[in-house]
Amino acid sequence: MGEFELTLSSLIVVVLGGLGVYLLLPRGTNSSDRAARIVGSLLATISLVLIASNFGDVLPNKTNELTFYLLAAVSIISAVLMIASHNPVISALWFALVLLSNSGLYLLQGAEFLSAATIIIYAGAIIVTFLFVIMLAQPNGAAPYDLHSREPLLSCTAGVILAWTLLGTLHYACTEESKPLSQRHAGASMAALPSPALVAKSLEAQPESIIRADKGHVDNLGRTLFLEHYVAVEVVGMLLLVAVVGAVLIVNRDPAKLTAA
Amino acid sequence: MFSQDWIEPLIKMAVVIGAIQGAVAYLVLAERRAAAFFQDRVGPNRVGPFGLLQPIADGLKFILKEELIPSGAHKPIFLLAPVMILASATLAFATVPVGYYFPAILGLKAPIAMTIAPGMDIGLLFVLAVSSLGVYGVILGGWASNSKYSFLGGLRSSAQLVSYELPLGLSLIGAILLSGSLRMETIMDAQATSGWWWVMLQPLGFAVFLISGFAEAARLPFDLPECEQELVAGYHTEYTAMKFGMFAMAEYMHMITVAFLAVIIYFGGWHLWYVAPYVEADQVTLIGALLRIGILQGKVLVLVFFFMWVRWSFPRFRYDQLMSIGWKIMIPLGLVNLLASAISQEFLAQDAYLAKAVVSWAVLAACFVYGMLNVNPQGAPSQHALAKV
Repeated sequence: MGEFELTLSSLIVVVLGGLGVYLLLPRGTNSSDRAARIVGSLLATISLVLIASNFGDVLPNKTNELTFYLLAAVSIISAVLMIASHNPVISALWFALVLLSNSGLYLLQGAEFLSAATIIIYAGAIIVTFLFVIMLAQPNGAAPYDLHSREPLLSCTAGVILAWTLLGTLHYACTEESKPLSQRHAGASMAALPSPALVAKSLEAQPESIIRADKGHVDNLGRTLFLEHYVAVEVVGMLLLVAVVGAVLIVNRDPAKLTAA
Repeated sequence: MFSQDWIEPLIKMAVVIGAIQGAVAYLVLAERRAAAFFQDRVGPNRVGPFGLLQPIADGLKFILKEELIPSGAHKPIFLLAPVMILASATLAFATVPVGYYFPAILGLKAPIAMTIAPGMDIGLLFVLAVSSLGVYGVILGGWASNSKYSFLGGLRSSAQLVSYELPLGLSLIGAILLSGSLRMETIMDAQATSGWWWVMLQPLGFAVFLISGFAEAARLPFDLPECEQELVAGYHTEYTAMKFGMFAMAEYMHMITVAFLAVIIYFGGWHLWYVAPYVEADQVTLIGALLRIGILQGKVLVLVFFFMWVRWSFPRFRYDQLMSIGWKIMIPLGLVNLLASAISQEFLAQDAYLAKAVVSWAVLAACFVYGMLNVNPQGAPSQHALAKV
């Protein structure tokens, strides 16, 4: 799958992309900004194309692969544009586009529920709340901290190292044959159901598996969550409950008011 | 390349998009005629017989009027907002079935599912997710217009849309538990095989769904986003010509989506006792298929008429009342319904529909009595908000 190894040449490619992003970040001055932005976007695009050309067949079907590259490109480009934008409202919109294309990628991999949940929770609710806050907080145009990115050099360096190691690890992880998790849904790139052969294989591997071939995707997800990871789900639920109670307490500082309401 | 796998979805998309746009055009006419009927007027009847060509005249007007962009508007976002809202409203129909299967005639391979994306296991969630993206068009349209009325309208309505998504989702869970799937075809099949429509087993869930649906579609009595008396026209005050037309179309599409969801989840979809009972997918005849499409669309039209009826029957809520209805009444009711249906689903047999119906109607009656005893008709839910002012 991935042909990206941890070599010097691959590091150079990633550094090229990091340099492009560094040039794209807002710096508060408008004079030399335009030239830097053009050079930066050029460098970032070249690096992205070089990285993408190192990946071979991602998915079995040509149409799926085209869709994958399209969504992945939209996701990465809008992620860069999100941090490069001067206007926080526009940044929030690019962020929404990142999430939308990511949920498209989940859908392509057969994780239907995850993709719908991403859209409902992140794109539909959280980003809208962000937009609310941004719009209400800044009636008089952009603030100084919107025009300057904080520590652009350090963050770009950290990003380059992270991206390089991630891509390299992806390569090693894909060449190893130890992937019990992905085998469960490996055949389900577009179909709702994992293919019977794969499910039979995973059933063989785990005698008491709760994944059932005759049930749909959401059904199997529910089984996994509420049978295999029941305690974790309960703990997370309790954590959210505590957070909600804490939020109510912070809003209503007066305890007398709380009992009255 | 040009196999049935490719051609079939394309034809379905063309048919669905074309039919929805045409339906929207004629629903505007129907709404005006219905409004006239309720107010003892005649309504538009000059263009063509019974005013049937009125939508074409309206469409021409939309296209030919001058496009205005207010000074100081954020131009790209201003232009993008109507596209966003219309795209999300259209995309929601991707997993909505418009009938049962179509028989494999004329050398077609298999019975054709009447959905653009029939295999989607999360059909219902997809509709909720995609239509929740429409709020971007509202909030950005209001913000980019550089007008205080638009901005206030956008803020109000996005708060409303985000708030009412919660009870809308909660109310559906009871029906999903009964059918055991999020696929809308499976939900209809479950109702057809049992012979019970979920509205009989989920009266409380349906009530919460319908009220939240009105709020999500921004229809009166929940049309706070527009609210002519207070905000000129809300978030689309500054929009003219076809851009305004796109907002109006998206609004009608939301109404159609809610009507489709209500029919599919609570009113049995294409099922009608003795007329259109459950059959296997490969046993559907041509007449049966057409009949089932007709039944589903007929039910949707009845519900859309109900929407128009409500518009002229109830006064509008105040904004704080709207919010307290959403958070203090609709969400608790949705939770009660979820708890009751989960308990009856767990402890009663799968086909004990009568017992489940008795339980759910008893819960509805209990909620009603509790509400009558505890909620002050002078607007008790908003007392707290009023005390602050």
